[in-house]
Amino acid sequence: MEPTTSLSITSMMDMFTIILVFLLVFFEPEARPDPEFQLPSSVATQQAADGTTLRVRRDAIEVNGSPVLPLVDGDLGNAARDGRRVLAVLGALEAARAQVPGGELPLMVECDQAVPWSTLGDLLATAADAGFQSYRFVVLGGAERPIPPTGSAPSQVF
Amino acid sequence: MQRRRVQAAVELDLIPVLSLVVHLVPMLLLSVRFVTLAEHPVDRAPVEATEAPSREKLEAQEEERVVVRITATGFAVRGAGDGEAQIACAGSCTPGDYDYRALGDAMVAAKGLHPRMQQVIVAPDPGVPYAVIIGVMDATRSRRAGDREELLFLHPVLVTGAGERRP
Repeated sequence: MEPTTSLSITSMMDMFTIILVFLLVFFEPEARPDPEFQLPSSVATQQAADGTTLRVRRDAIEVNGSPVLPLVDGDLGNAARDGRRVLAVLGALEAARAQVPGGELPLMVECDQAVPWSTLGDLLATAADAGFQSYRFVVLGGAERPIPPTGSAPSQVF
Repeated sequence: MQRRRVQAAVELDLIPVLSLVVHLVPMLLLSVRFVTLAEHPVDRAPVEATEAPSREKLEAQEEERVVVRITATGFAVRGAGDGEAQIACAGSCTPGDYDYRALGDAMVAAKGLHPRMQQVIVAPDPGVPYAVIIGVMDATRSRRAGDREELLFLHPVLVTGAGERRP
């Protein structure tokens, strides 16, 4: 007569529980791409750092996640300005910078890929007036390089 | 007479829980989006149009600067050879139609002419989408040759209105 053995599934339960919690943390119920905000792809590999976030959607501008100014298809429209400075964004960026100890974190620019340079250029000029002197353009990294290697003479590497 | 309490060892039946978890894990795995966020550093504020070099000034400084203008019809590159090289779009100039490969070739040529230079001026027209600017920054920053990466111009400077003819 063979002895009855029961399979111990406790360790397997532990493993699945850890995986489940991990996946639940990253679960997004609405994983559909947001038509108003799509980052461009890039071959850049430098990992995005921390900083004050300026998000430029097609329908709004957000500073550190808070809506600041509505846009119409990425256009600033009749937003109140002083020269190139967009006043609503200037105030929000100055307030955000004041909250950073030392105020030296870079500005992380998360911009929709279809937003025109006319809008982005004015926002960067505004950020410069708010005291931000370095920028990081946040992109989706690891894209295929659009420039395949050619047989051209190699340039000097520094 | 003292009664002896005997506790029976009861094992919790984990099979239904395990079954539930096994169903949940693949469902969640399918919904997870794994993306890597990277960054393009831009160390200087965009230059005001009044500070940007005029076309005449750029012509005078041709040997000192590498300039990529992004227009509605393609790229115009200075500093990669004689005069201004025009690189037209392959189609209707949507972000995917710009010829980043030809721009990369021009940047390699420019780097050969200016081996010590690290700065490239990028001057987009007002209506140019952000995706094209990122494509230009990719093309001007480096290029892969075989299994190694050649560094080209590491410091892009975004300007407004550079190279425009002034009335």
